[in-house]
Amino acid sequence: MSLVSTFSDFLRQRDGKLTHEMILAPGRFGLGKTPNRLQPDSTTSMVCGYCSTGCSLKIHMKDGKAVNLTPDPAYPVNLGMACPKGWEALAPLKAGDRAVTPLLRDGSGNLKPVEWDAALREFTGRFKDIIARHGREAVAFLSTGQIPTEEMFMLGVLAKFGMGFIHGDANTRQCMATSHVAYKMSFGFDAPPFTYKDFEESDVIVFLGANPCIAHPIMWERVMMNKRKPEIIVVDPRQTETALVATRHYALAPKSDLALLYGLSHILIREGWIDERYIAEHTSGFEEFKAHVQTFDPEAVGRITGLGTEKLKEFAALLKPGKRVSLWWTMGVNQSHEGVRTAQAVINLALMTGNIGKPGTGANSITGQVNAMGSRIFSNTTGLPGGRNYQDPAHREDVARFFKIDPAAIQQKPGLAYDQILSAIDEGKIKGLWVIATNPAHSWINQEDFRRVAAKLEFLVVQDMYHDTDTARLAHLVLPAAAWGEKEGSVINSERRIGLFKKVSPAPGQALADFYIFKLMAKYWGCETLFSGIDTPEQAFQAMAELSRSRPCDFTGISGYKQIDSLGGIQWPYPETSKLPPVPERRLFEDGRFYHPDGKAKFQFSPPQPIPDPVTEKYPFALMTGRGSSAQWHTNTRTGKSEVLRKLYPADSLVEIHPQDASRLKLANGDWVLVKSPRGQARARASVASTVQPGQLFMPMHDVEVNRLTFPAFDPHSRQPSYKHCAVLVEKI
Amino acid sequence: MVQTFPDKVPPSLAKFLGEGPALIGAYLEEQQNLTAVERFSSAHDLMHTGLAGKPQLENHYRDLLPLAMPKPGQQFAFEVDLDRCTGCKACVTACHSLNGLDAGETWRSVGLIHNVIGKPRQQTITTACQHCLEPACSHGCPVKAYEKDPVTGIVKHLDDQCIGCEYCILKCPYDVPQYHHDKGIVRKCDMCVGRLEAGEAPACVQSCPTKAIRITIVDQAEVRKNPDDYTAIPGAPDPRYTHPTTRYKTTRPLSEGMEAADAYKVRKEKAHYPLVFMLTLSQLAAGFLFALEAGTLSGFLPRRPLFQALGHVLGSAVMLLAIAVSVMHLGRPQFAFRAVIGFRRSWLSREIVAFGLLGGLSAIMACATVGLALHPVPGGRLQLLEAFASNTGMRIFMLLACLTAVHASAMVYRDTPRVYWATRMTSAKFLLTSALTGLAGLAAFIACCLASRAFSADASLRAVVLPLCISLPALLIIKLACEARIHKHIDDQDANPLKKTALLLRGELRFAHAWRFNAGLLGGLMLPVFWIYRGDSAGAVFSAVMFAAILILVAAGECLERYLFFTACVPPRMPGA
Repeated sequence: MSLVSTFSDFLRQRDGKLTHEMILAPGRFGLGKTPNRLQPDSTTSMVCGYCSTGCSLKIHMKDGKAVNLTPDPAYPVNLGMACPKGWEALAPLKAGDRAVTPLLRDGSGNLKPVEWDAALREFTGRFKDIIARHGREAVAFLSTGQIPTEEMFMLGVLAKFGMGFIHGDANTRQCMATSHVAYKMSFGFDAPPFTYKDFEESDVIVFLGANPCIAHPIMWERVMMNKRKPEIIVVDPRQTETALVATRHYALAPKSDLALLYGLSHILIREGWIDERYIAEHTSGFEEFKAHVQTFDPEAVGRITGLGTEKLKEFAALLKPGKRVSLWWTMGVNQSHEGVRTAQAVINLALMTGNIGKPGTGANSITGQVNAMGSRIFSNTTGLPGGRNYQDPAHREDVARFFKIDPAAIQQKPGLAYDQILSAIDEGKIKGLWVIATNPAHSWINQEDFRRVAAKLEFLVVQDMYHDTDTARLAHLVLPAAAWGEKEGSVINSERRIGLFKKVSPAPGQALADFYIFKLMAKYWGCETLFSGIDTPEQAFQAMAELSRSRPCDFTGISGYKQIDSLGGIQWPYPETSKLPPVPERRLFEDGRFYHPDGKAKFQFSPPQPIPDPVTEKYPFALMTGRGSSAQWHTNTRTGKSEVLRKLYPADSLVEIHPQDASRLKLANGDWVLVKSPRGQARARASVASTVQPGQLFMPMHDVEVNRLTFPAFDPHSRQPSYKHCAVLVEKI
Repeated sequence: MVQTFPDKVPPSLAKFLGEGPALIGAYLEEQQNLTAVERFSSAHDLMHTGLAGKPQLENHYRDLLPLAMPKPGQQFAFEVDLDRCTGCKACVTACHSLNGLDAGETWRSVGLIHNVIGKPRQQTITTACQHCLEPACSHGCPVKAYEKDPVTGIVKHLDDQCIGCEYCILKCPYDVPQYHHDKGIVRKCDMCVGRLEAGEAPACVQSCPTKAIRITIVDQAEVRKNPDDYTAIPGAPDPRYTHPTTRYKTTRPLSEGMEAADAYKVRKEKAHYPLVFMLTLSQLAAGFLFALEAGTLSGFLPRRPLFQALGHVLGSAVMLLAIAVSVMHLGRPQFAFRAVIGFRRSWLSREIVAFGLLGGLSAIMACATVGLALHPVPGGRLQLLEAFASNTGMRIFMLLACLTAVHASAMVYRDTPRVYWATRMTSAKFLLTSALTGLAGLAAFIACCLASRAFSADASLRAVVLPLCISLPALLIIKLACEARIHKHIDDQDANPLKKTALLLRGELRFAHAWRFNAGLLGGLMLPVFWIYRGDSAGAVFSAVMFAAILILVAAGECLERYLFFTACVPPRMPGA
């Protein structure tokens, strides 16, 4: 009998090793069932390392190491959900091209492994030499929005107060500079006023140049949780994923957004659909603004935007007081030749309709990178730590006192912006460049500019988790950095929530957290006294908290990482004077008081400027660039390392083209085309779809060839590059 | 208090003496020291001990699960609210992580349909296993590694039973079973049955930020009667083949003119090289043995023991080689014997049994004829051998076995939802390959025999060569004409699978396609015509070389044809990205 059953099992085996591998183990730690093989013995939660939504991921730990993760249900941001990048956040750590030792370019031009000691001597020796020969203005750094605030802070302090750099900027210039400047000028401080709860509490949600379905899926989750049956309006030249599910889509002509917003203001004022009392009590400059928008009559604006008068009036009527209107913008606004004015025009709309400081309202900038907000306050690039200004003697005094340095040693105006740093390299003024966790050889507008000027550098250092990013390949010295998940620190999300990164996975080889690298550099440079008392990231956090004291972003009430961890993140402000524990979701300006000395918000405006690179007969298409899918991030250095994510986006670069244009060019879906601008060319497959209008093209920004095309135009206030418009032509290959 | 720094300097740093290299060492050590758990996790896990075992997400998915078990005639099914799906693809990654799948392995996919003309519309479609009423994977499986649960209707794969033949991949119209190369088996979605049993939601259901996926109970009769959900999705496979159960709901009917975003994408499919060689060799052997037996029975071929022995040894050797090659195709060849148990339903099982029998039979015939050749005097203990070797019944049985095996091979492919395969043309091709390569093989065998001293004087054998040689161009032209028929689809207006096959043959696969024709024409037409033109005058050795070249070229041409048979066959699929 048993022989028969053994044989029958052998012939039809229902159980065994392979079956067991897939068995799910009963859940612990509130997780529900987890794969048996990856069963955690403990869990800990941390903020995801990609975008500014700032979702919390519950890391499944086994023997002290991360083995898996699930989104954290207890965190007020993401409520147990994550986008594919978050789910796959651990995969890029295991990539084969992680930088595992410092690499130095040798005499024959090859990058060769060296010891940390030699690398640090090279680093300090070369930069000291350049400074000695050419002065402090001959060196610069380009940083990131991807590392914790502590590390940004250490970098800014080390470079500027220790090593004597004057110039330093970050890739946040490419994503958030516009919002930063716009808020600062309008509110008196860079203060996004909202909390994500506002998505759920609005009656009218307006997205301008934002595509949350793809770029911020977890924010879209909150929109879907709105029970007020909201009107969802998308303002975007392209029929984006979000536009397709919105209740209304205004497909305006590219870069006509500023005119549109002034046109809307014109109608609101003319119809009296404004909150006069709020304007009088809490704003300044309205009369001038009113005069300014006088010329933006619906007929003219309807023509400029291509929307027509009627649609414009319909749009304005939706913003009438009486409903909670929230206005949200992202890169479509920020990455523009007049982004600051456009963002301020959005702020103006919120101010004059009184849609600010109340549930479901606000002029709200959805940030890009996970810690762009940390960079904006503490990076010591465009402003001094704590959101202070270089120009302000009292601010310089504060910071000098804190670091026990001579206030006169602090520069009296901000250093050069990203594009200006590159120009200075081109002109031979800057000889040494230090790049941290960013990939300008891929991402910089008119990428060839960066590659060309990088070749002129005497010394290029790239500090990154991968040794083969487009930029690392150009470096003289590569420093191996520990990644997200391999180090500690805090980040600040779009809604000003401070959350934590934790060390849950061992860094490969000799990779070190940027925090340690900066500490070592201070030691080797001989300026380690700057960081006395700051031996751990948490001590750096405490230093930053102290520097935030009495500033609008005051978070001196936060006792430390454990409190942040146990409360599910804490939004600033949270000053020490707060007696109560922080409310989980808070918005700003509920009292109508802004940060300008008069306590009022300021109407900021100026006339729209012509498009810097208009289409011509030779280059008849307007090319827009943007996020390709929810599975891709920036230059794909990390997301491209996950096999699962790679399955979720097209293998080939795509260019969206309208069917009319496609048929004129005899293009079928999937045909290879060359997109050309006077600056370069990119290969892509045609994706024929009426999501763009005739004469427009759209390309995802993740393919390395795309920024060969883009035109280097910059917002005059924020110096943010305008990635959303350049003139190109299309050829069938 | 803020001014004090609460955390002590980590002990590994305390020993730092102030020198750079020492500090580097201390930091490298500290970098490897993972402290998150001891610093934070206890607090974290304590927070949830009150919920002991209760999933924190329960409130999120409670109303996304059915309240009761299915009644008889009902089953569980996925229901997708297309209005809520915005294509974030979290479901794909969550399925991957929560089921502990290996790198790159995914059981759910998200496709896109859109319209090219008119007001822009697009819709993402998330798909996993359809848990069909008539699961084709299960029907095709030669080892019964699938079972449909009688209560839940979930189609479950028995991983330990799987031999890795991948036939279910060819059978499933929804591209559901995924081959796992390292493990040598396929795996697939089981609707997270382990979670459902515990009252938890499947990974995709619990991870969807917009609650677009739920588990519902469907009436099986209703599913069978009303396949509209599927026919409504442009580009989706014909639901009548398997009766898929996933329900797709939308308030915005998917308008006319929408199509799969990848409707025009053509890419070559997996080549399955062992199958390419197995099909060519097995058909060569079957054709050869068939011709040998038929020729002997009809008196065209001599019954001379040496000739019969050599012929059967050769035929049987090629047949056994083909079987050996076919086993190489399996992910877990050690369990190949299990393939007999699916005989009642699976054509693959039948093919394996048929070739097993044919291989055994041909080996017995080879032994018998060799025995007879070595001991030409009949009688005594060799009577049995003689009975086998010269028994007409045996030869007829061999003829039938050859036909049955090749027929079973063809049915393996005809019994799939792939239109390029699912026609009588597949049988025609396989039979023609058998005839062409079998006769070329026989001609080469005879020519070699004639070049040897033992057969050089055999006039009756020599007389067979010319008719054989004439038959080759005729068969080849019929075969190529059959193959060329696919090209008429190039002018089809819609992007149907046959058009895509034609496009592939003219595009990505054009070199293989050209060489298939070149090899065939050279080996099957030009060399035979040349030989006929030269006549027998060139000598036996020249003829042997010629016919060997003909056989090699013809077989190479058929291998290429079979390579294209796999690579150019466009399967039905749900819309892709």
